[in-house]
Amino acid sequence: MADDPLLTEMRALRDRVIGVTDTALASRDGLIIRADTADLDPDNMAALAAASLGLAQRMAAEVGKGVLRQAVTRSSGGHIAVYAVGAKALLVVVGDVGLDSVRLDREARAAVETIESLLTGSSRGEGVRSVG
Amino acid sequence: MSGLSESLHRILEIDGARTVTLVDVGTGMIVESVGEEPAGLPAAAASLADEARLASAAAGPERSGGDLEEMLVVSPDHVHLLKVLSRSQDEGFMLFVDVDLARTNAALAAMRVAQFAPAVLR
Amino acid sequence: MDMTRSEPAVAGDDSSVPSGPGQLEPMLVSIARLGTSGLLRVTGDPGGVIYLTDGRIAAISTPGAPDPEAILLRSGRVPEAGWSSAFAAAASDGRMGAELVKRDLIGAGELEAVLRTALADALFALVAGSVEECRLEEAATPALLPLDPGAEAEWLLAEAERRLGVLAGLRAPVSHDRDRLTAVQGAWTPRVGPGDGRAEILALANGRRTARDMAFVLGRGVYAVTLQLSRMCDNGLLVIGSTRSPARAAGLRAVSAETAPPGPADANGSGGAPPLPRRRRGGSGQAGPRSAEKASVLRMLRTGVRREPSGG
Repeated sequence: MADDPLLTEMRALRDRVIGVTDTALASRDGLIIRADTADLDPDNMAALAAASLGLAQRMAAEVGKGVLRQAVTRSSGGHIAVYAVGAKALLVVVGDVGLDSVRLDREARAAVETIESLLTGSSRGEGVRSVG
Repeated sequence: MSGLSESLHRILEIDGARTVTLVDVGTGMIVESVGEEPAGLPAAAASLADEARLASAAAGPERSGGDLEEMLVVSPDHVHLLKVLSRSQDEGFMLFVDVDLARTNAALAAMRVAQFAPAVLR
Repeated sequence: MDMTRSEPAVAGDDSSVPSGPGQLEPMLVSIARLGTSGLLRVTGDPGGVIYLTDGRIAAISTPGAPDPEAILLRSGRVPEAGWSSAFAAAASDGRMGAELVKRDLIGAGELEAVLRTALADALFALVAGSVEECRLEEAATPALLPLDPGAEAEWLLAEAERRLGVLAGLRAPVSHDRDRLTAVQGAWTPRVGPGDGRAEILALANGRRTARDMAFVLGRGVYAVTLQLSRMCDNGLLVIGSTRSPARAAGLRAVSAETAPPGPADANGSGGAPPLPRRRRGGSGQAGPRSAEKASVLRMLRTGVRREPSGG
């Protein structure tokens, strides 16, 4: 487990940004790739995040305000941010009410880049495989 | 003057009251204080919060007899009164009153403090 | 020197207000002397924003400690629905505090006490962390629940120093923002009753949460939770499982010639591509002096004399 570079990067994001409680990496069709979560159901998170990101991207395109950067859900108990990772994956970041969202913005971009190259580079252009 | 300060000043008017301090139980910090402020007051406040917590803990987890309400530390010429205004054992507030017994007696002072204490957080 | 002119005041404009790393305490002292109003933006870990009115501190917003809203709501002192109604009615007019009291959602005295303790906790979190830069700005939006009149910076700084001293002297030291706590197996014994605050902590101690994280969940102060965690470690109920390392690591990771595609079926598990070479950006900020060292530094700044920190 210590060797898993995806989980390592996801855990590092949790370390670097105060207030991040859980992260999950999923395919665009809603299947979990990696989860660094405690009490959350990763499969549900993956499915919902994929739907949410898809919707958010369509809205961004509809209003013609450029490319979607993150889809954010804010509730009384915290934040959920979803980022596209290349064309085929997404990253969910869950935080508490004290989430350092400024730092998250900065760190998430670097994390998304790293994760994208881990996913695409390691499979030599095949992209992410879905579960069978 | 803030609302808290006013409430504490009302308690300071009690015969013999020299210092009236609102203490945060979880941290031992002084939230507000009126009257005399001896140099050792911050450390004393922290110790008192600890004592109140220990006294509560000594009652056991079931806390038969109810929650800690008050502590009196009596010396020949003064009494330190601790009135618990807490939400729970670990958080909330506590009133500390230093009373000079040349002007009054411990029981009377405790009664007066109990009378005015509920208004402090209101 | 009047810092309340309409254009933003930036640290460095006024030569009497120092700026730069580690200058938080002297800057607050200068601000108090000058009676400055505005906003002090602190970058660092945790960093945050200090709202100033006439040289006093009205509010602090930081990821390092719960603000009054988080405390009031998460602790259950104010119900969510009541808060929302009050917010809708009064937030935009800057009358949130008065509205909460008017609607009997909280007593005026208790609200003031919570605002003061939240301020002390937030400044403690700032001072106990690392500070990269402090910039003075004009306050665009006032704080939701400001303390009025504000608290004196010197008083808050003295309280932060007291806390650092206490933490440095703990028998079972716990870092409020780095150590992640885990409940010990068998900690749930008849000793821990249901009404006991320790039960809440044990339920949260899953090896992922720091004192700061638990404070946000519970709506309690970070320092208060840290003290409790320390006691529980001392009593064998908790252990420090792992430690947060916030700075982005500099340097390269190990390289492997052959790589394998990640295995999606095992979401939490083993397998997956070995690390790729990656040049990290430089670490952000400086690791500030911790605990006892920090207390000593604070004393030096205030009195000009460096003394060894005393315990407890």
